Amino acid sequence: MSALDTRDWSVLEALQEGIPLLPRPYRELAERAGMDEGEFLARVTRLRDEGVMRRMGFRVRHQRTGTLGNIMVVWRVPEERVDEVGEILASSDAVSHCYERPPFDGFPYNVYSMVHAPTEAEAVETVGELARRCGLEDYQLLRSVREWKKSTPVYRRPEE
Amino acid sequence: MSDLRSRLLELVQEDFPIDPRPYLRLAERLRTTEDEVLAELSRMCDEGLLRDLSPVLNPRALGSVTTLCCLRVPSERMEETAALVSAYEEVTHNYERDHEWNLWFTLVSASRVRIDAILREIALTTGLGPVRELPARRVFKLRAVFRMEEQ
Repeated sequence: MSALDTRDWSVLEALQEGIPLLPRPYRELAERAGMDEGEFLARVTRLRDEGVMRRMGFRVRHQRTGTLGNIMVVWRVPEERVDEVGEILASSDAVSHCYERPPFDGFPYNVYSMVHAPTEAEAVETVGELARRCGLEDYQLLRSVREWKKSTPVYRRPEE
Repeated sequence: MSDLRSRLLELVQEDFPIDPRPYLRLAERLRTTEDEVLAELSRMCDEGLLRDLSPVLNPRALGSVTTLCCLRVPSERMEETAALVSAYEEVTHNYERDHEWNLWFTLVSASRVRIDAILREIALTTGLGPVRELPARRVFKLRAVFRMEEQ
């Protein structure tokens, strides 16, 4: 992956402000970034191909799209089974995120997953199925009680 | 939900065209007009189904650090503590969960030093002990695309 230059950062800053609902949205953003539409699109394409952008897309409010059950599930997985369990969880359509994270004192869980379903009851049922498929018994469901903050991360160019 | 709406919703989450006329390209794929695509997207934004249209970036490729943290907060102190944590611009998500460790938040910053400073400050200001930090050791999946339920 090549290093980002200052014009790449201008593109990223313009994109992070949001793409307008206009017939030529990139031309608008290119102007803000101080370049022509052709260069802007070429840079966006390169940033996507290089994986700097994971994808380009609208973000949804999933509580309103028929996905009401969202549960963080933490799993205690023996070190030698982390790979296998990670693969099983990741292959489920109900799992959006899955990470290995370090356990801490009194909290021996080392694999984290976000499980989604249309209702909470279905999400709980899905967690039970995943547990059976992974052959795991020690796990906990952490339901979200309240969303105190949810914002789109804004990435800024590193200070010189 | 109309067929156009659910198909459009799937397309725009994952694969928004990088093209001078992206809405026209979407219209061609959905066999409708550019005006109709723009109108439908505008309605979905007004109704709160869609948030912003922007890229999902890879923090590591940008030199940014992301991390997940948690705190154990007595219920009578939840509101003030959650507000204090949320006030940091670097905190992007902050959720209360039904567990002994009940406040979970994520941070993003171009500076590791800044993250350390914030976590120390939170611990010091709240007096709730060190913040537990659980950085991802490995990512098995990262994909937040939701399908519409047929209604």
